[in-house]
Amino acid sequence: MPEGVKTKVPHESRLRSSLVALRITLAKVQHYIWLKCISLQPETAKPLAILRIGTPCILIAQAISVRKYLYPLVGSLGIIQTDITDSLTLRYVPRLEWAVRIGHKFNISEERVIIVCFIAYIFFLSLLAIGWKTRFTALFAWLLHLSFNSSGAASIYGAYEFSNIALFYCFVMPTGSALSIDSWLNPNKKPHPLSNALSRRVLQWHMCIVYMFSGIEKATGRQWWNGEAIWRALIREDMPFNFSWLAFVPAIAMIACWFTLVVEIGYAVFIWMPATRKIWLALITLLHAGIAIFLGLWFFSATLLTMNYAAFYPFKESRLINDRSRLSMPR
Amino acid sequence: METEREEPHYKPSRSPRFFLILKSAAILHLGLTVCGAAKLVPVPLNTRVGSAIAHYQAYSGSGNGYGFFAPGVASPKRVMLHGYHANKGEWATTVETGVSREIELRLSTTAGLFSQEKYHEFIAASWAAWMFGNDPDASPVIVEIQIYVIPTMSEFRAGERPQWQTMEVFPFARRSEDKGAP
Repeated sequence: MPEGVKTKVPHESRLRSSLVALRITLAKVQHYIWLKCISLQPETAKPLAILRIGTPCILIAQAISVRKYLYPLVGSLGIIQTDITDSLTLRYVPRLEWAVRIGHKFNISEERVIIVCFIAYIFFLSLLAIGWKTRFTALFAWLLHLSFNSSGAASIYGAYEFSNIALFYCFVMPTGSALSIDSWLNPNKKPHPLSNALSRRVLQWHMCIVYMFSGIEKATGRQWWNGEAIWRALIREDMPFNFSWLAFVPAIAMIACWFTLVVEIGYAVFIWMPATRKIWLALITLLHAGIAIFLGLWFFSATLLTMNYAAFYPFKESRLINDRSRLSMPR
Repeated sequence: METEREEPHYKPSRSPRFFLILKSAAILHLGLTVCGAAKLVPVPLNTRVGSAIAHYQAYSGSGNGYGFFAPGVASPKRVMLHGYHANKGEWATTVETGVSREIELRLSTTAGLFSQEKYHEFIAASWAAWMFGNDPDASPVIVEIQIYVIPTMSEFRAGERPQWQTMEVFPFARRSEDKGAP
């Protein structure tokens, strides 16, 4: 073809090459998602240990803060009586009433049974925190926590629900395999790295589900777009700070609302990328720090931050067996 | 002479089927978590399978919803208990408060149940029973539900201020007594 003569690429060829490029891009994205979000890479048990240590410590502090008001919150003749709390929970979910019935057979009063259960709860949480007979102590801590939740169903809020999830994971996952008495007593016995990986992957996806749905549900409300949500949350009478000035600078409230939406909805995407993971962890920490300081939801924030860091904090792998020939585990 | 470093002993290799079962259980659990978050009931609760799934979700926490402060922030509520003491001829008002922030949160959650109309009378009766138990001389007892009405930012700038307003009032008396009250 002579120089200077422009050739016109046929439309079909351009379309075909665009489609090929799109298919290549989609394949790369698919491979990236598989590699970062789904496939299991060998992991240590350290991240799960964070969950095992953090959750009981928070729950012990939480239990101590309500110890003086225990009976009104969970007793059968407390503020909300058993008939109502029973209607709020399913029939075969454990509750303190089961222990009370056993106690009555031995002429032990309901108050005493509740106190015994409370002491047992703190006892098993302490053992779980130090990682002694982890699965056994996690089971009892979880069931006792569930019992207190059921009996106080009218008064529990998000922190208790997340704690239940965390304790369930402490029971089913190999959380006692690092930073624990169990691992110290049996240094040569460890769960398979892919068991750790699968456990962590479940926790990661759970956190993504939490924030995505939380963000989307917020986004369906007008208050989260015009800043009224933050205003209404901060202007309450029981807030530690006076935020009445916010009404005169509504842009701040609006930006805070949008920040919340972006961080929560974007979590499920940006937390997976190595380039943005630490940034998103920092943002979620900021979000929960704000919830703790300005709304007084300390235990809620602490529990969620523990789960976040257990799920996504990029720990330096100390020593992993990467030689797949030693592993006969399928991926 | 260098000593060989002892390799940690991993649990005996599990069969591929075992890991397949684990992965399937994990996927099922996450699926139920999505159902809980989306407020979907995968199998009707009046069936055995549905009931078993609901119980699993309750035990594991996979049935939880995550609509905190969504779609909007509700107005706080509180419960005021007014008990009449016939021997003194006066009303005593109690607002149940907690000694710690955590107890305050739990009490406010209880008051928040009044957002669901089907529980109104039962919750109010429960509060009244609580007061009857704590204050044997009080009868009748009036359970007053108050809501903290928060103006919008523009209304606040125009001069409106948040305030507690009475939402509902429930009177209760002890069954066997006939203590006249003004």
